[in-house]
Amino acid sequence: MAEPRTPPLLQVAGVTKIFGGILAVGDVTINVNRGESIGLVGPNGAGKTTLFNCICGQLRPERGTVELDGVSLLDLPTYKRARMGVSRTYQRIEVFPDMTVREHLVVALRARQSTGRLWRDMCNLSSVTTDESGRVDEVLELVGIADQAEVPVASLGLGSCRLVELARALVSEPVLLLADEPSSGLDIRETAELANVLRTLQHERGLALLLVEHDLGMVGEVVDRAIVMNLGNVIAEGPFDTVMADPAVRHAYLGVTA
Amino acid sequence: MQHFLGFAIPGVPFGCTYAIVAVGLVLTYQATGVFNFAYGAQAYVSAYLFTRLVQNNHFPVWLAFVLSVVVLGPVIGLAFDRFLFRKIATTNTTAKLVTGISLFVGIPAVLSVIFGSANQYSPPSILFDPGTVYLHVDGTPVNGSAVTAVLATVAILVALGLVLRFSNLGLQMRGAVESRRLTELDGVNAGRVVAVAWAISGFLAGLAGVLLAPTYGELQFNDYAALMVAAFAAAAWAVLRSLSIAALAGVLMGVATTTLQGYLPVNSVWSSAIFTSFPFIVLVAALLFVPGLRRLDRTKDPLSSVDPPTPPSVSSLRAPQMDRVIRILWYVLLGGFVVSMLTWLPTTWENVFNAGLVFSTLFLSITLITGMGGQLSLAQATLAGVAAFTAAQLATHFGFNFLVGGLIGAVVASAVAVILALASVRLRGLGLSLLTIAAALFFDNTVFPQALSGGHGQSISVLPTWVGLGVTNPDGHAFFVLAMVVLLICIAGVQLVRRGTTGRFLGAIRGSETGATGLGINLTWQHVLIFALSGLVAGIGGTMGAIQQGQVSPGLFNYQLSLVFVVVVVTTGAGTVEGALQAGFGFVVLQQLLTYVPARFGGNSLVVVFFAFGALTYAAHPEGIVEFQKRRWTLRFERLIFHTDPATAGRIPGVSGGPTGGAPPVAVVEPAVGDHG
Repeated sequence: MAEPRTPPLLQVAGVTKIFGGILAVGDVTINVNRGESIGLVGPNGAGKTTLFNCICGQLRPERGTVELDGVSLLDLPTYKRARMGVSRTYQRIEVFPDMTVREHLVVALRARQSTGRLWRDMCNLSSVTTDESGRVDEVLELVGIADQAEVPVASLGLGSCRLVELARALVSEPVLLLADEPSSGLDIRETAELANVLRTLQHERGLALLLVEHDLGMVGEVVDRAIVMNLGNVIAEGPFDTVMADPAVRHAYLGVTA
Repeated sequence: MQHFLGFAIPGVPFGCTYAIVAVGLVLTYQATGVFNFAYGAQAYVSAYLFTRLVQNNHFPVWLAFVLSVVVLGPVIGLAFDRFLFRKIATTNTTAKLVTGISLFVGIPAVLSVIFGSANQYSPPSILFDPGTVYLHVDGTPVNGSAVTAVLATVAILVALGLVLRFSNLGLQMRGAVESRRLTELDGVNAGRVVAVAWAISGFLAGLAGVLLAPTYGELQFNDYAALMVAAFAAAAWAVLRSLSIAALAGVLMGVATTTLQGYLPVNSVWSSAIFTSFPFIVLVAALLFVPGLRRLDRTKDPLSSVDPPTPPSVSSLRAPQMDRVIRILWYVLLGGFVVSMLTWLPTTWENVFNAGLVFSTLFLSITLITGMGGQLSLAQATLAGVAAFTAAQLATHFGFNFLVGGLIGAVVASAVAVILALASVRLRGLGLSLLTIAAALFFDNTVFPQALSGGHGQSISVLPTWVGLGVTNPDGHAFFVLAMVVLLICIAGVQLVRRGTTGRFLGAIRGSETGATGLGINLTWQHVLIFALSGLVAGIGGTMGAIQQGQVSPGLFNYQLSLVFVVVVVTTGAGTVEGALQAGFGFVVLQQLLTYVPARFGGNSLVVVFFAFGALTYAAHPEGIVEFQKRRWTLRFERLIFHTDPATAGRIPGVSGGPTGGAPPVAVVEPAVGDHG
């Protein structure tokens, strides 16, 4: 999908994270090209979310480097990485219960642009602009939650909250989206719609996607490439179908002995 | 050596009581997840009753001890558990803290309502006579209170250690603090385990109370508040985890305080300041340097996701046409109020409402920090005081106009708040509250009496010439106009911040720090910003308060007021500007109304009792009890007048809204950060 000669968008090299003597992520190297979508799969405890946390800055790895567009992210706090275009959704949802769906997206938009200036508030210049409102509507439409725009998020179910998180991550037009189990809590129809949204995004916006997901059917539909992790290590990498046929993967993930 | 022991030994009884209180705090925290802010008040109640029974009712010491410590101590602990903390076991740290603070403020007030405000003198010792020297250690005399304290502390701590080490109880307590609900699923009667912990800690509080009593000639609640900070410090060094470290730290602190005091020049500023400042320094050091304290609030009950979400504020629920009606009513009320103040209201009530305006301004600072910032600052009165003292000093020494000086003072208060914010960047919830109350006590005991008020702890009168404009003229309305304008400006500012991007970012941070920072919001900057704004508004309120009172004195801005302020605002609703106004006016109007009630019923103490009990409902209604009632009535009127039902309009969470509306979120057991999966 991407030009083979251009340097990768995200370069994760030799990242190692240890929690109190337990190796959560061991020497993991991953490259994500522009516009590429990669499925990061593996059983629970494989280190997928920890790797996400190392990329986003919630955790600092013991060893290794993380670079976006050739810029090292390691010394940057999470919020600066987000402003550089790294967006994510969470395994355990992290929404803002006091706000409506629309407000979530407005906050995300302004946080990315870092336009939150106190003097603007004081001069009453902080109301939502038509431009912002248009972009918010567009993303809500795309994700399929436009009818819930004015609903307080506290009243939504888990599935809708995941879509709110996705919309919130997308509205700031990230270059890289890390989606952590976006389909958990969704029913079959919603999962199919979500897969559709992710595919559309990739084609229309050239977004790079790193997807952690247990629903392998959905992963197969969305990603170009799959990386399988087990016990903190990458055990296989390549086209989704090839990787899933790998005996080591079947053993680790499905418990099937080849 | 003799010098050293001579200084160190008087510290032992203090150290022992610090140790017992610290152990009790750690024990409650370990078993129930509650940092019991009211512990000092529990100790005070037992000491008060003990002294009263012996001095006034001539009970034998042993009987008074049994009644006030062995019986009353555990009873209070069990009552706290049964009627309060058991109901809020699954709520957040702020709810538990507010409950504790309400009790801390309310209990001494209840005592003075019941028994009158007369102090108790010469509290007796439970075993040995404090006036008699029983033995000499290396030539240093050891009196009865030291002997009693050491014997009682050693006996109790050894017994407690044995019980927790060799019985099932210790293990079950550790399980119960993680998740009471999960422990119950394992077949443990967690309620009973927690009740036992409360009973033991209640007994320890009582014991510490009566042990400490004889070291003071007069029984005063303030001494017990100081005891609390020392115990907080000891417990903090034990990361609220280890009983033995807490005990050791407590004893060391007692000894270190008197030793340091001994070596400092007698009657110097430092010598008198060290006693109250030392625990503060130790506590702040713990908060800054013990990394475990930063993670205290991060542990979440794995079953927390089965809890319902908190309801949104009433202003976001009601229909737009209802909003219009309410806005019109506000303007009518405002107009009526201004006209009444300028025309027919008697001076007494004009003064009351002026005070209401001042308190409302001050309380807006709590709306900012607690309602919007989501943090409980216990130093708002201190920040107000910083501004007032600065204004007074600038007026005295440089002839500044008090209002100009007050603005400069507000900026200084804002700077102090920024320092607090920077010191507490990594702290949230409990840690931040402890840091702010420690700062408040430090200012009360050291900065206000020594540095700001000219070294004598005396008040400074605000002279009419300082302010000008006839503001201090009691017969005119100038102060009312000034206070009204200042309040309106502050309200406008707070509303603009609330509705602006800053308010939105803060709302996001309150909802989820992880989510907010993941979007690109700089948490540190927002934290500092809201502290700065809150300090500024508190400073403006403090200056207005000084003009209204006609003086600046340390007593006007002490830590107890900070606590009362929090309790008052939380009762009415910390989330909205309306809440701050209701708190400001409710506080002063209630005080005035109670002056018509015979003094026998407690006067001002009764106001505190009212609000303290109001704040106890915080856990059930985190939006404030007044806000809660307002929602009920607003929605009722809405149905009646406009025939709209917010529930069916999708404005009430959990009732409808979207195809998946109302579906309970599934329990996700793994934590989001630090998860291996």
